[in-house]
Amino acid sequence: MASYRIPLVFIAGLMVASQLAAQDDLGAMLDARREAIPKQKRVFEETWLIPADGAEPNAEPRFAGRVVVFQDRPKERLEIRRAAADQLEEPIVIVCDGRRYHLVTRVGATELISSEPVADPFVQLVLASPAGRAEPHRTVTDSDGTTTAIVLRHKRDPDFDEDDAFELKRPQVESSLLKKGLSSFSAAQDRHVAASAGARGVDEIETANGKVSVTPDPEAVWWMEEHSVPPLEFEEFRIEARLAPYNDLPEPQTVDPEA
Amino acid sequence: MKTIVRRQLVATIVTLLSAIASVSPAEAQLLDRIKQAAGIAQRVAPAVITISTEQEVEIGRGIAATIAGYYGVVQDPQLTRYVNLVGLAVASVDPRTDIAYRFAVLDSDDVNALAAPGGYVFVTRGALALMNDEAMLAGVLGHEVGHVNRRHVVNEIRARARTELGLEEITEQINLTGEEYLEQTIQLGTTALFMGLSREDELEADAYGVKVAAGAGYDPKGLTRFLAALPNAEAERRSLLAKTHPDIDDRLDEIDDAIDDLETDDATVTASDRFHDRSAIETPSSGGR
Repeated sequence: MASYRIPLVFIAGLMVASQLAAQDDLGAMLDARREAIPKQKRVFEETWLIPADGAEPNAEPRFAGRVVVFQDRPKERLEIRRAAADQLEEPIVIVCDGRRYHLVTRVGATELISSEPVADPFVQLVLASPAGRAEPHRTVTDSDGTTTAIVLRHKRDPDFDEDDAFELKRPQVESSLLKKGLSSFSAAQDRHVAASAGARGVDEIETANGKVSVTPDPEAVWWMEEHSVPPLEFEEFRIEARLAPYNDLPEPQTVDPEA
Repeated sequence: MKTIVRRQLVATIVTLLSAIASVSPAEAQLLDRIKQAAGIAQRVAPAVITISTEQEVEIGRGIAATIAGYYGVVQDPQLTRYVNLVGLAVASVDPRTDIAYRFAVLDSDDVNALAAPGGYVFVTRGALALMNDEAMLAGVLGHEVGHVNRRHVVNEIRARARTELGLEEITEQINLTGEEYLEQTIQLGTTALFMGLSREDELEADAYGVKVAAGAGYDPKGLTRFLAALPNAEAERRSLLAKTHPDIDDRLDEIDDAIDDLETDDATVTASDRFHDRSAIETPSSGGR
């Protein structure tokens, strides 16, 4: 029994050491991110596209999530919504109070570096890739030069309430800081409309061509309400035709099979 | 605010009357006249007619059920999904975040598009048949989204309710979606749609449609091309649209001005191939006209 004790302790020690090293890396990365916050107060929304697993190099990237960023140096707030199945998940809210980054939940704030979401590859990718100053889109590459993400950035009204955005004791976790944005639009689209009263209709209408009898069709309205579009399908639809916010997204490069 | 002022005026007059209870016959006659005037002031105080978002959606669903009953809805999931995707692309440019937008195709050869309050937007088969690309559909849906976002039908209901529902002499706040008024309110909204909104509302919706279609990335001349194609439809099939909208030349002028005012020059998507691939109807409808 004793013979196993030393290796187990050794392995546990190695795990702790590697965890600490990872935390050091993460800490350094967050420090660099905080240092990169520009002087001017700003708000922007980023749309993240990443290559699909196993896809050809020239394949269309997939919608991976949306991030709203509020910055007022040295403070910062990120609302990260990942794409999952055909929906956008609830936002992961991260706030830098000027010194450290915190994960903000409905019940309070904990230091980000030791929280669970920081292990998520998409969250790490976002944190490791601070936005530049002005470019409307940027390409994120790894150390081999392989594209890991294409990011489209859109400015939003920079007039936000700093107290609400950077509050840690009574945190704001709803995406309510953006008065008018795609996040809240999506939420409205997701909202379930109770099929109760109100679809009764009327049985005679006056038209410019005269009065007409009608049998109202409330079931057609319910059918309409049931056929809403999943958010991710909406994103793919806009990407396909390069509709906003994807106007600037480069077209996939065609590969000549003869070459 | 005016209601409060009137009430204060009435209260002041009544207090004054109480204070000078013992008066001469001539003064009493004068006071009678003042009392009558006070009574009239009380009665003509306008009813407070507000329509919340919840009430708007409830009324809108009733109007949508009536429109669906009149024309029939094409219950083709693929086509409906496509129209929703185009509609949401334009609606997301300047969205009302308090409602969910829904789009459907009406089973009619008539050329028309309608929007009920609360975000229920319809376009007919006949209108789709006149279109050659997605930008045309985006322009038409953008126009209808404009009616929703500017609350044109809701404002029409509020304006008509006072006289047509006999609410002129009511001084309390009115719940238009209560049992007493809901059906009549839906009737007012449906009538407004089928008799026509004001010329100003229609031209505003045209300019709005251009703005949001371009904001979504679509060629802003889609709506122009749709209006230019209208004469290709049989006169009978476009008669309701013609009677409920301003003259086409006036609309085209308004649209040209709106295009000139656009601040973007990268709105060029027409998506003609996608439109032809996805706008075909494959399934029968819930009824039709």
